[in-house]
Amino acid sequence: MSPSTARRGSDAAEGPLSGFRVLDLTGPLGVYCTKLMADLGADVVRVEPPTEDSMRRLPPFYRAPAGQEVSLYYLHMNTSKRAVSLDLHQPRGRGLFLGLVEHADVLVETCAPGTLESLDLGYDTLQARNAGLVLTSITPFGQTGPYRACKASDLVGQAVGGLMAITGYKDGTPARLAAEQGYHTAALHACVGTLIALYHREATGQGQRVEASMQEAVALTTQPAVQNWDLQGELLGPQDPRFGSLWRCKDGYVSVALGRVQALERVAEWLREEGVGRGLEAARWDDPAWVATVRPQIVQGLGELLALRTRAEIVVDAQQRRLWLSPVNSAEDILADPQLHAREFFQPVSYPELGVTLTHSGAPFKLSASPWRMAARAPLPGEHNEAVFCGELGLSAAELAELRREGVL
Amino acid sequence: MTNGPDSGGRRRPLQGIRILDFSWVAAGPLAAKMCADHGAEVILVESARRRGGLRGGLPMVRGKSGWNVSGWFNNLNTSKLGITVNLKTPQGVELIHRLVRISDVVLDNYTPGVMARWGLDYDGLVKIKPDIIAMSMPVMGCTGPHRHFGGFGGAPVALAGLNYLTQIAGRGPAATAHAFADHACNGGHGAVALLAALLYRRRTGRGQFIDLGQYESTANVMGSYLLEYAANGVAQEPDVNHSRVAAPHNAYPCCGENRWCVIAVSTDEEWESLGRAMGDPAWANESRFATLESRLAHQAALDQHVGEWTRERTPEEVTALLQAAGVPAGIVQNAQDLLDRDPHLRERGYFVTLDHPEAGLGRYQRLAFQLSETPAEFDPAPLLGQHNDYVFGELLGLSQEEIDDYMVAGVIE
Repeated sequence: MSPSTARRGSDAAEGPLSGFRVLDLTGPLGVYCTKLMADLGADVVRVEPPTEDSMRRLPPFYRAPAGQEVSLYYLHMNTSKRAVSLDLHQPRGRGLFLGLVEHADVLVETCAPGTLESLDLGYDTLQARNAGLVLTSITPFGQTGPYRACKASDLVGQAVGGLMAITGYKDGTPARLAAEQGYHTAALHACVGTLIALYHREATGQGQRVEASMQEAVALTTQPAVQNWDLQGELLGPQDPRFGSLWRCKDGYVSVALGRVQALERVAEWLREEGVGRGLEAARWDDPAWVATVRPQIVQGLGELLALRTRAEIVVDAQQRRLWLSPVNSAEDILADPQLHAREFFQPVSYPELGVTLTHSGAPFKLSASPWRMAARAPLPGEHNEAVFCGELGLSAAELAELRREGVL
Repeated sequence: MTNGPDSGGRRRPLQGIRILDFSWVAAGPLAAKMCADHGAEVILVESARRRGGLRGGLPMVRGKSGWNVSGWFNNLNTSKLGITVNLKTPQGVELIHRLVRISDVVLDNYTPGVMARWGLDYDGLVKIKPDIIAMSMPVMGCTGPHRHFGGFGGAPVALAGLNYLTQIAGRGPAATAHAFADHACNGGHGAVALLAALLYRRRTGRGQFIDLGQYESTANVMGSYLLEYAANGVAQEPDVNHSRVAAPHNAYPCCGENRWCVIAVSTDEEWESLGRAMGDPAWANESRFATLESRLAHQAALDQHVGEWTRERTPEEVTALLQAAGVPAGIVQNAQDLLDRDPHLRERGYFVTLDHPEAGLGRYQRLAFQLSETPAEFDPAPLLGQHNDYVFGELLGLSQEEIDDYMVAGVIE
């Protein structure tokens, strides 16, 4: 399949969300939600301000051979979508938006709480036009509560959700998880809620609001830490060896979980085979006291063994022993990984305007009958104004031109 | 039996969907739990002899032990039913096949090949139930040269670049949260995949197989990192507490033991507000901090100054002061903050109290989303084998005598 030429409806197999129309008013906090729905076949129409969508200016950038500079952030997050431009602050813009709402199944937005209401586009207004609409709102702290109006970036979301307290270094310095995991987790879990609401809507015709909070999404990922405090009064730090840790080796790091006795047992076996497992022969793995006495020796032995080997050597050796150990990969490693290539994970997307084909990451999961696919490259600004406003809302070419002149589009 | 689909007379959104859940540890259980909390009937299939996953996982309720009091397990398996079957017996396998016949979804996260032993791989399942939806969630996916590689929640975090990129410059990879990917992208993508397949089946009548490789699922939440490398041949150097579009942007030490705050300033307006909130110190007016570009170029000095200011204050003071000034800031909250101190989570009712038959009263986390008309409802996680009578008696129509015979024979455990 060549995503640039594959147009909606021409794919042999349609996506599982084919037939659903989604309006996309998201910034970075929610945009992964609508990307998922678009790549799963929904017709996602991104509604962008006529000035410029600020997401088109987010790094990293790509400089095309002909000199244009484009945001790779935008290109990644908006595959398979269409885009219209619309000024929601102008009455005619607002009117057209309500026209779009009538034909939509879902609206996903990340505006600060109260913003839609201030544009007279609150849920009640939208619902009056379309009783079956699912309105999904993704915000840092949700729609209610004392912090609802607080400002937050991904960094703040990861901090207040409890994730940074269990990510970091031995001296206590907290670290943020990379690649905007606060935003991604909130958007992804909001997508789950949206699909549950859609399933209900298909059965009953009833629309509803779905409210997602980044803080609560992040907090959900800290379950072991939360339970440890609640049940044991113990605060977990980032370096708890029961849950896995990173080990230095010849060409980087590997990750191994030594929490289970079984894992220690397999390491001990490995050490014995290497001739450095003295004292581990008289194994009493059922006896926690004995395990505690040999643990330091096992940990030290493993460290010495790993330091002499490369990631590739270690992983093959360890996996054969059913010791579940993984390499710490960089982008370079991932792009070259034979496992991902065998599964055709990477997908070419061609950009005729830039004169290039770029390699995108592919499906998060493979559906056999209704596959995930990138149906189109990310849209240009206002690329689908004519198709949507004239083709679907019935505006004439003259009206479109006038709205453009007035800055509505 | 409290897990009825028709709670309080209100139609639940996933009412009528039955999921056989063979998944263990965290990613699969979370995907199924989100459905169970919304009215799907999720039947957790376990063995009383070989208890997998988190049944014995720490932490447990203080002073208690056994297979029903793991906090992590109980938090991840709310609203499900529990049965115990010995799949090493042909009769056990036959009972499960009968359950497949009346189910909509079968879910596992074993390494490839395990389900096939019981005739429960997709090819086997469609012979029993032609429109079944089946999902497998192995680390590497179901195909490819490394399909047999195993791993827990930490594996996809390492494989997909998240560990590598989560470094403060010059310090090496940071230790990352326990099983983060299970609770975030893999559980989340799992639920999205199931629900998308259910919507597709509703429209077309067709089931399908879902191959969710946790490595690929996690690579999907790396944002544009992989695309950047593919397009430019280089990608960002890891420096995770900093940003390319904001400065100051970091975690800063505060007073108190191991207390920290974060501050993220992305606009000049926020920068000016920060200066005023700090009482307009002279250094903040230095020209090297005047624009975002120059703040980014002088981040080390900037962090030093901001850190000296935060060090004199608690994270609560810093956050209140800066948020009032319109500057994004927050407390680096630990689990105690979340559970016992955060007034916002308390007012929103983020922690729900459930009375579990063995664990007693405990606090559990709501999901990250709330539906206004058909909200989630939570029942305690099932005891090991708690719903054998309901599932085998009411759903499969076995008589009590037959159930007793199966129990004596060690088929139902």
